Amino acid sequence: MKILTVKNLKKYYETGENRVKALDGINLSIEKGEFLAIVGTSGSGKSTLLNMLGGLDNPTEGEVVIDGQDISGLTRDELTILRRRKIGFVFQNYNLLPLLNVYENIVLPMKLDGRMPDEMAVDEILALLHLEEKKYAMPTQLSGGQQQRVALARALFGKPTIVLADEPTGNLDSRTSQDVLGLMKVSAEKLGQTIVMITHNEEIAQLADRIIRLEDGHIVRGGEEHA
Amino acid sequence: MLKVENGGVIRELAKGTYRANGKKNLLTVVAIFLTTFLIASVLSLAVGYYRAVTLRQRRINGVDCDLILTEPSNKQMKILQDMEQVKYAGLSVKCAIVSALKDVELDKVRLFWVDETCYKKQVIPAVTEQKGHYPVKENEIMLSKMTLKAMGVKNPKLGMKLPLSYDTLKEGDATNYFGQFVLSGIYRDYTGRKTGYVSKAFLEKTGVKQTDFTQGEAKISLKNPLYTKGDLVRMQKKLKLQHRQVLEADEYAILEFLRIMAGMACFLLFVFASGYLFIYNVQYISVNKDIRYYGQLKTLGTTTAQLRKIVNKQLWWNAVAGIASGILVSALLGKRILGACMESIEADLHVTGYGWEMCGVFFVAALFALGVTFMGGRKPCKMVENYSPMEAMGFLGETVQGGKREKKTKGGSIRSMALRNMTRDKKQFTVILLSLSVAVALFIIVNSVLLAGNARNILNQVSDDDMEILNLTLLEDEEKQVLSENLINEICDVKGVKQVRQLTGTTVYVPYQKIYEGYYKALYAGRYSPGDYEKDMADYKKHPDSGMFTCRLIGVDDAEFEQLNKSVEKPLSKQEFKEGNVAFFTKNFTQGDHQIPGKTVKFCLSSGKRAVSQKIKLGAMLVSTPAYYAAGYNPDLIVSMQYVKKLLGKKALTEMVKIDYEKAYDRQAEKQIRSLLKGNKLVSVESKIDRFNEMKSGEKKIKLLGNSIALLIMMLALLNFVNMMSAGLESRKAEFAVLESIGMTRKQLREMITKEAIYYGLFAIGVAGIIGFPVSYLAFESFKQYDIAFRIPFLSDAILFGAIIMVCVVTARIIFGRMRKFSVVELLRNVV
Repeated sequence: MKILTVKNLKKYYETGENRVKALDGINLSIEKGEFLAIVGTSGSGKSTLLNMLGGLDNPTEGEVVIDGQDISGLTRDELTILRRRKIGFVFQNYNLLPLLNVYENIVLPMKLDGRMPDEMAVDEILALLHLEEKKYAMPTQLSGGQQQRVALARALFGKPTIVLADEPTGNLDSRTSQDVLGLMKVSAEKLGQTIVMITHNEEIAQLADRIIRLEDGHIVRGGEEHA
Repeated sequence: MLKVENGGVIRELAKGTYRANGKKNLLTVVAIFLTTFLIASVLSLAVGYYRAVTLRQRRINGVDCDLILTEPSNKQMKILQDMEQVKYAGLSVKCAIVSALKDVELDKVRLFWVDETCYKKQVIPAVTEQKGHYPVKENEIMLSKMTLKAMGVKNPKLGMKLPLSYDTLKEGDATNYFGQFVLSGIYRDYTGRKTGYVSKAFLEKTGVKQTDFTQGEAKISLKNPLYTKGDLVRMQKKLKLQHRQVLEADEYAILEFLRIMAGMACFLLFVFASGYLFIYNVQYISVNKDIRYYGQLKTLGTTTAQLRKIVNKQLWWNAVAGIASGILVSALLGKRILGACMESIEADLHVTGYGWEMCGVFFVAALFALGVTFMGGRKPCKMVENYSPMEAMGFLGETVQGGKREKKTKGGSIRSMALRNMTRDKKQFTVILLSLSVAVALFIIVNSVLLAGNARNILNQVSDDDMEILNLTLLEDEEKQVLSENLINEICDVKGVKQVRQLTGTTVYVPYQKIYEGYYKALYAGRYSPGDYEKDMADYKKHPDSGMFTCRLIGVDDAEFEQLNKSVEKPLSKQEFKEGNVAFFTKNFTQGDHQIPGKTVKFCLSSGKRAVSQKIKLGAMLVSTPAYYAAGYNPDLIVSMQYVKKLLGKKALTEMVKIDYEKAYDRQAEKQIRSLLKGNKLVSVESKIDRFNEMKSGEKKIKLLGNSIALLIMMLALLNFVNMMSAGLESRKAEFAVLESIGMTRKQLREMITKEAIYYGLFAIGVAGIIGFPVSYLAFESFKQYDIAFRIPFLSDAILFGAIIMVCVVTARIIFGRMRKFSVVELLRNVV
């Protein structure tokens, strides 16, 4: 079952007389429960693609369909609501909210949606990510690996349809990277979630079910080319 | 070490940095300008206010002096003139009372003779619009404009003839004299009394002496007008005061001075605090960015001393621009502000000649602004000294960093996030809160000070009626019923008149009786003792119809009775009062009731052996008389109108009517009543509306001035708030993007920001209330000129609080709205 479909997606930036084609006609389908890695060199358009998939940026042309819903016509607030219900984000620099403790960071998207978090579920995910001891710690009291695990817990907690991870191990050492990725994979499998991960590290990409390669805004391997 | 010639580089670097931070520097210059302007304006107002109040006091007194010695002898005058602490000692003698100009009856026009010192050094500074010369010849007279107006002289001209009837104040002289006077001088005085001056020849002709009781006064101006009780005692000893002589002084002058100074100091403290917070804040606002920049410069090899030079140069440029423009504008506007201030106190006050004080004011304002500029501006440079270049380059500050301790909370709601955001940078929070609180507190204080001077409030407290009409013929040779029943009925019929309270008055004779014994003893022991107790009492017993011991029998109607009965501790029975069985009594010369209440007094309507004696019980003592005229030394009797009519029949003359309107300040009703009295020279009218109009113009200006200062401070505080909010939101842009990326809608973000702004407003109001209300009470007590009770002006304070919250919310939402144009990714990239 296709959970995410991208059709002829284009993102062009105009700077004076120059036009930069960050994405130039991307076609892509992702199955439910699939772990997809997007690789490519710096400037190849990986992050732009991920932002488009998550509704963080508007495409110049084309469409993105998530769970049967075309998101290109949605307003900014509708996109935000879609994100908090169907998408979990993991950023390279964790992006935890500095004023909230671990528990509050994890449950915030759910609270923003007007739902009350299930305490058992919070404890469960904290245990799964080995963060039981850090439930009330502030982000500044955590190591990089711990912060990324909290970010992962926040992304997974609301049981979103898709988890979008932008270089989730970019700021971590190799051992911690392996830990975080292992946990991400295990959790996603357990919760039946789809993962789309950006990385420039081929070794890490090997953990995915499928790898697509981007170059100069085009998929050069692993995607679907449409006429 | 060899000196490196790098001044040029440093200067260029400073210039480059200054240009690059153009927006921030412009804001800093504006902050310095506003603070300098505010402080210079407030200080000049303080100086001007003090001078104006002093001048007004001098004018109200009619003489510029600090102490008065009653009935001074020539020897005492000499001692005074020789005293080291005395600047001037002038002599003034009240010698006659003008009773009429042709057929125009006059009420208490006092004529004085003053010596040259008193006239030149003490009278002239207290009057204005003086023309002509001081009377020299016996028939020359100098009159105030108010007196001439009361005489009906519309266009007074020097040299004009004035046929005047007058009584001298020589003891025992009851003759009414007539004289053809020549107007030698005119002046305007502000005492509210009708006065005039006469020549020494005229004084001698009247036979009044400077040592006559209550007539002669030595007016004493001191070199240092702040005297203590001890100073007075020492002076009294040197002067060797005689029996009834008094050295009149305001014993509380020092306390009063200190009280006003304390109020002013408090106010200035608020103003200085506000200015300090503003300049400091603007400089501190981009402290993180500055630290990172100076960190970069350090990595390139700039030493701390060089960094300091770069910073100092920029601070100088800002300070010079801000202070110079601030002083220039306040100097240009200063005259206008001061003029308005003087006029607010009194329309004709023109305070001049204090240029050096203004220079001092500008110097203080400039010094303060300069000091604060350097204190705030050197902060980032000082902080950089404590960091390594790399630490400095990566400095984020409290705004971006979060807490460092575990928080066992399960918050995360929009409300709790708003609260935490607000206090995340404690220093910033404190500065915003303080500056807003100071501004709000100042508004609260200004509101209370305005309340203290609110004409309507004052008049409602001090006047117990809307209009008073007085019969001017009473106590004259020919007393007339000028306030007839017909006239009173016509007044009652005027639309808008609620009630007319009527008072009749007649002089009655009181034979000697034991019940007043305690009172007489106290009377003769006091300053206003009529003479020798034993001798006078013996005479009184022999001649019970003595003119000295008469009193007024005042008849009041039901409405006035109700009013008076409310003011006494043990109210009288209305029935008993109406039937003439019980009366109120009132007296002027002594303290206490001398155990008179409950006793019965005898009095006669006429003198002579055939006079019929009446009896009435004295039920309660009134603090002040409801009537206008007084007669004799015995306490006045206030009885019912019915009783007076029973005793006097149609002979009962109405002394005064007091009119209450349905709605206070009913101008229509007042106009109609005045039209009924048109052309009637035998009555005088005083109304609440007249007094209100007089006070209102001054009040408007005080309101304008007070609000302008508070508004200026509020402007500083709001600019502070806008700055801080803008910088705070700017530094949290990435965080907003993160929140949006994980599911917080723009609407929710706006709600969070709005709540932050509301909390700022509420906290500021809370702190301002804690500081402002007690200080406003003190300010109210300092500035009130009448005995009115303090109350919190709820409505104006509520409007103020609402406006503060509204401004905070609108400001925050506008700043947040400006971020709308950026996409989430753009906002995220700004920090990534």
